[in-house]
Amino acid sequence: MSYNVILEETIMQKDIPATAGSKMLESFISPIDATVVTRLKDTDMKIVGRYAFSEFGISGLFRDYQDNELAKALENADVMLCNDFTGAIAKAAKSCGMYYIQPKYGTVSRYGLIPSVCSLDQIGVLCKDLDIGQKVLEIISGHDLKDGIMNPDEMKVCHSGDSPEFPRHCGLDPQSPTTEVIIQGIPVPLSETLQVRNDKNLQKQIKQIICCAEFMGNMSRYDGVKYGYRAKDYKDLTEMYTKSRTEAFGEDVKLAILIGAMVLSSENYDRYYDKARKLIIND
Amino acid sequence: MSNYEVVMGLEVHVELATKSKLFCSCSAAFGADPNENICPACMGMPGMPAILNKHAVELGITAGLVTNSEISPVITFDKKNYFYPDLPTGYQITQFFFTNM
Ligand SMILES: [Zn+2]
Repeated sequence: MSYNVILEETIMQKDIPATAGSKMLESFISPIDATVVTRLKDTDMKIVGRYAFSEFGISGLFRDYQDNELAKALENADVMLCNDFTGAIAKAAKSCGMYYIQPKYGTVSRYGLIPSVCSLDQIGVLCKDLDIGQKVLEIISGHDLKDGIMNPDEMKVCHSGDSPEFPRHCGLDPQSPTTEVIIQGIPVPLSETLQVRNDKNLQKQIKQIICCAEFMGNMSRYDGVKYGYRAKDYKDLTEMYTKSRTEAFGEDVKLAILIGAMVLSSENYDRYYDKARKLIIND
Repeated sequence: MSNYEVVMGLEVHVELATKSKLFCSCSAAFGADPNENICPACMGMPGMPAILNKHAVELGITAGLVTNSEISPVITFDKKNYFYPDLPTGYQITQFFFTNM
């Protein structure tokens, strides 16, 4: 069966702009096909378009996506491939009767996925029909030598379509760690003795700290030098960086960069990022 | 001064004789024209996961062995962020959280 697939703007298609929904990458023509694109092209699936919920997907950290935003994404398609690192897509899918299938981390190649938060980045499937979504997931899953941080041990799970372990939980399971994430404002410092499990507020805060820290690092490559947006008038290198980034990044991206820089700064590193990491590892 | 104990660390660099770069397959040879040995990955373009050069790990372990050093059974990598013109991605891939297991 052939199905219509729409790609999030973060998934790269050779010779086509991969904007990630950002003015920064409006002129960025992808030099390669993402592995998931190559795998779709090897089947009779049809790639019918591109869509972005927000710039680099980061707005999902600060607000909920609306039903009509999801409806629009799947207007002319059966499934959408997207990276729901904030959990906002899964949450919205649940509220409007769609499904978001979140594969296990490291089971779908990220070669050709524009990174946002590397420790959470994972291409998943948004769909109206779970069986169709699962078929598409089977096509895109599996080991890829072009992604050095895949998890070959998990691969079998993704290939066996009828396995009860098959990870199809995010749109359905309220216990999923990525289903409920709404974060607003600046995080407060963490104490070491906190229990992460069962504490939703703490989970949100840790997620915000880790997301913004990693996101900031991933945005630093956009400097206007070799590709992407460059401001027109500038007097030196620093002003070129500053103007290009000021003009091309939107509000949510800037907010996440600021929070990320704050939690990684030498004054705050121990109070925020280091503790957030340890709380995840210890729990 | 006698209240202080002097502790010194040495940062030792070894140039590994690999044919290609550490995290992409571009040539590591010297002498080419500027911007010859580059690819989307080492230009810092998005969507290009770093792929570790296996031979570099082997040579690195060899360098450790010939200097009678302790070899860790596990290696991990981290990002070190700094914004500077010599760094297309804005971060180095280095070993920050690494502890000898
Ligand atoms: Zn290269």
